Amino acid sequence: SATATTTATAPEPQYRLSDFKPSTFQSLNSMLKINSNITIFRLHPNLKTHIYSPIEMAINESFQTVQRSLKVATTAAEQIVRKDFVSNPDEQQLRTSARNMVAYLSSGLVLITARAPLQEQIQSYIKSHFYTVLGISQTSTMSANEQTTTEMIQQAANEIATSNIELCCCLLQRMTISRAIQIIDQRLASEIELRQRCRTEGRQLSVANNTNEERLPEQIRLHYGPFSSHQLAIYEDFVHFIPGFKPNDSEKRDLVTMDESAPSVWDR
Amino acid sequence: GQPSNSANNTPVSRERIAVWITELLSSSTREAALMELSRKREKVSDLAVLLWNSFGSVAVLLYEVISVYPYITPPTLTAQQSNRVCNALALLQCIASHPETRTLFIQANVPLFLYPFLNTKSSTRPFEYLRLTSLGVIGALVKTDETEVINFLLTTEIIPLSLRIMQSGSELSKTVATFILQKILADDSGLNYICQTFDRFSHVAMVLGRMVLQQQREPSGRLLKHIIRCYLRLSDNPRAREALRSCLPDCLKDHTFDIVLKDDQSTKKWLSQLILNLEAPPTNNSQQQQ
Repeated sequence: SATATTTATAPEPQYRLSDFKPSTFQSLNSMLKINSNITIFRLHPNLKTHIYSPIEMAINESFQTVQRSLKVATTAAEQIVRKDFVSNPDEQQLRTSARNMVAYLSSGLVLITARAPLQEQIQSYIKSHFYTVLGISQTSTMSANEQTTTEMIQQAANEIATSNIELCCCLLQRMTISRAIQIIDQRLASEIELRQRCRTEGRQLSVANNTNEERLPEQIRLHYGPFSSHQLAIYEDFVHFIPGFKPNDSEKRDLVTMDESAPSVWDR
Repeated sequence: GQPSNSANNTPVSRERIAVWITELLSSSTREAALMELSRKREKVSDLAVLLWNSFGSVAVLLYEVISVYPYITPPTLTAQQSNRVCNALALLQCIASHPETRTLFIQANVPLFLYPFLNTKSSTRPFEYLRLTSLGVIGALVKTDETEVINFLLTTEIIPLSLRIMQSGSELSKTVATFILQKILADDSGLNYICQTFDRFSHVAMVLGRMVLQQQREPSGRLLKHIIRCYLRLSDNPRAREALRSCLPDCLKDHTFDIVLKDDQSTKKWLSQLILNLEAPPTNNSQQQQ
């Protein structure tokens, strides 16, 4: 029935965007949640040091599916920002709004398309990595002892994937956001340059005569000039409420001042 | 309370519409503005143009769509959230329908942000409503037979998504999904795309075949009409026609659906045409080279 859905609520996000260093794995290792009660770790404590590498592999593998989200999000943000800012001569407002929007769109798409496959990948990579470390061959017939071990491995892989999927997905979203911002900066570079040039030359941004404008009631027409903070609120909301992360005011500053040197993972 | 002008048929003043559009920008007034605009959308013929050309409206609609993503998996979307996002979708549908905004809508990739909703499986009401409304946006895009729209859709996963809903959706969702498939097939590039590989064709034929069998148990004239149109169009392709000779369900060839189609002359005509197309002996004309 319709009321059934109201009883379950979505879990609150645990992480802030600022918990992650853009485009690197450096934050991941220390943030992984490993329950030391997992049975296999009591028998093979050294396996705990073999968690990070399969997780890194699984995240790297996700870059393939992320490419599609990047393409969709950057195209959408570019088209919409171009039209919304066509008569706005303030390149900072243009650039910041475009970054905020693309962060929101790309993060949302990654959350909804990449999370479930990533969880499966993490589980399967941990499993096969543990098999390798313990020298268990999946093809040959197993001893009773080995069968117990594989069951424990399966259970451990499940539990590690479940307790770390949000963390890993947030990292993947964070890396996607960095890349999306690089792309949108490039796509809008000429728009930004044009606005800078207009200002140094002391002239107005020339706005193409838009016949549609005349059909719009006065209060929703685009007027020449920068936007008020009230108008820009929607573009600020994009960065305040990034899907999958805790809402946070400092995010805005993070994206605007973000390190512009290229994150290496995307250039491989 | 109910606004006084929502029930009658007097035209809505453009000033009032413009106020609601500006109210979309502020989070405190947005939910009410979405509802009012979505209610009035039939009465304002150029609402799509106003929404597209005003600052921030399309950005707001995309914001609303993506804001419910965290409630899709696991499925926790409430009725209120569903209503709110469906009002935003109704306005997107308005933009998708209008000839002046349709191309811009596609170029901005907006339809792709709705696909995660088509991919949901929960059968609760908030999700049924969300799927149906999202399908409505795609349905509005394909309604006017623009090749540009079909070419865009063929670069996306809309065919498998529609086929899945055709198998498992509510009757209304099935009808819209089948309509979308029918419109894709109606376009030459859509027909060629689906008949290009045996896998694609057989997936479509299998889903249509199952739907026909379902129709024997729970007939729906509207849905059956779209199914028959899909088959008829497939029969325009020589290879598909060959394959259909052996896989068209028998109940379409006998009188099983005579009662359902009793008052629907055009569908009866299409069904006879389909059977005629399949009865014609294989010819060696140039069409077969396709």
